[in-house]
Amino acid sequence: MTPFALPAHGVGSRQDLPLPFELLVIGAALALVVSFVALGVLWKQPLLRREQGRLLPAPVALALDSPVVRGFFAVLSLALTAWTLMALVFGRDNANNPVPYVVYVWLWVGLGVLSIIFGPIWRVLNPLRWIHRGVLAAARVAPDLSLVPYRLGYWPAAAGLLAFTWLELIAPDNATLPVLQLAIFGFLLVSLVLALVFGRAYFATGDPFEAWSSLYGTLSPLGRRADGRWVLRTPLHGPNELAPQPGLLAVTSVMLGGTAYDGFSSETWWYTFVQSSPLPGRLWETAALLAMCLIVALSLYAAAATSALLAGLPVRGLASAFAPSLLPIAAGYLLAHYWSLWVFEGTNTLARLSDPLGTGANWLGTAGIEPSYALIEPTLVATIQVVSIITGHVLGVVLAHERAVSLFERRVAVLGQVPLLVLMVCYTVGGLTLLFSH
Amino acid sequence: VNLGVGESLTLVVTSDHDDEIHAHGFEVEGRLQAGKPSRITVTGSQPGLYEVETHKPPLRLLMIAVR
Repeated sequence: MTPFALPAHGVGSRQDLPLPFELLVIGAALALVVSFVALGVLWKQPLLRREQGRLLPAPVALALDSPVVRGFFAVLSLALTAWTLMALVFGRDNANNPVPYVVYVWLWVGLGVLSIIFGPIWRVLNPLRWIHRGVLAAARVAPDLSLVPYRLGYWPAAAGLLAFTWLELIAPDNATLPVLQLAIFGFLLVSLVLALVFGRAYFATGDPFEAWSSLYGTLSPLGRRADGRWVLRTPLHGPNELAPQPGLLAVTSVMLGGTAYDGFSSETWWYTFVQSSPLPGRLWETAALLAMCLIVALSLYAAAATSALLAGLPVRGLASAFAPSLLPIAAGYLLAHYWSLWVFEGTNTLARLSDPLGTGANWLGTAGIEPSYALIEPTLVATIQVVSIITGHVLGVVLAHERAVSLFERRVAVLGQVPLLVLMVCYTVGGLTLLFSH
Repeated sequence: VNLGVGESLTLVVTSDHDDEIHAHGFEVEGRLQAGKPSRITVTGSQPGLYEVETHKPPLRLLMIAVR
């Protein structure tokens, strides 16, 4: 890292080239064909069960459950947290400070990607759980203390993720230390108060990053079957066994809508309009972010309501029942949008972490590390984008199918899932279009 | 604006007020004086889409696609 430093200035100085038009057309056509072929040829009875999966070899399963392994990663996470807080409080406020990169790249994209691979890892790594535990131990109170039983489900996580997305994509000066100090210490304080009031049950679904990690983590091939043993299984088993909870539709909509807004906000016509409007630009941007999340939620609700009508079922709860089938689609969007950011700025984060105080130090020996340009070569990136969006789409369609055959009567199951299929094709073609046009 | 790898592009910018211009990714900055044309030159090295913007107020002027 050079001692010369630009002022702090957002995260990510490069974006991907627009997706080639041929890939857009191929992707959209595939999505359409796969969806309706699936409708005809897929199973007619529910297929996914909690007892399924290939048992992991005993040593691997033992290691995954081992307190030593889990403790090691928890200590690593706490050390990284302390290191980041040190840079936040004592570091220099310029573009070489690692804090915005740790927050916007590692905690956001990195946690999402690692959770898709390894499962709900934030449950083990979440520093807030350890701080909460420490506070209670210091006060000599039992670790399961709660003043009010927790019943808010995913709602606090939905609100928290929306606020985080706003901070990352819209808030002014969001990579400067004063703003990050306010956001990070504010988040720590609010979370700690919520955890003290509701007890540690708050973390699993209420903490925004645990929800982010555990919902993407349902897609992991690692899972536990009904008897609690570790198995390898399909990415469909996890989302399919997700229990319906309050706010599940909201949090899924924020996950998908936030990424969609990020793609949408770099459309030329949109930012030309925002910049030349007499109203403040951030007002428009905030409205667009909210609109994206609402469009996802309302369109899923409308599709579920139409399905309910066709299948002769009550509408209530049906949108939430189908919300998990949006998770693979959201994961596809996430990989497509942020693959290159993750590779490029994710590596730069490690380089910046070596000099947390901006003194030109190289404490971790990683200061000279450079991102691999081979991994963000334009053809490879375009391929990854199309493959991840289409894979997400196919998994989403199959999940919705499984839900439909378990919820609907056999004779209406095929008809009942048509509205959802149409919606998913719209999401997928929309996602590809956002990557194509800039 | 499209730019090949290894090619250079010179932008001539005239602002109605004093400002700074910043080409992201190329890390080229220039000072703008009210009414006087300023030039900045960027050279494409890594493929990607890069933003050229002003700082006061923050406005996006154009995107440069390096292919």
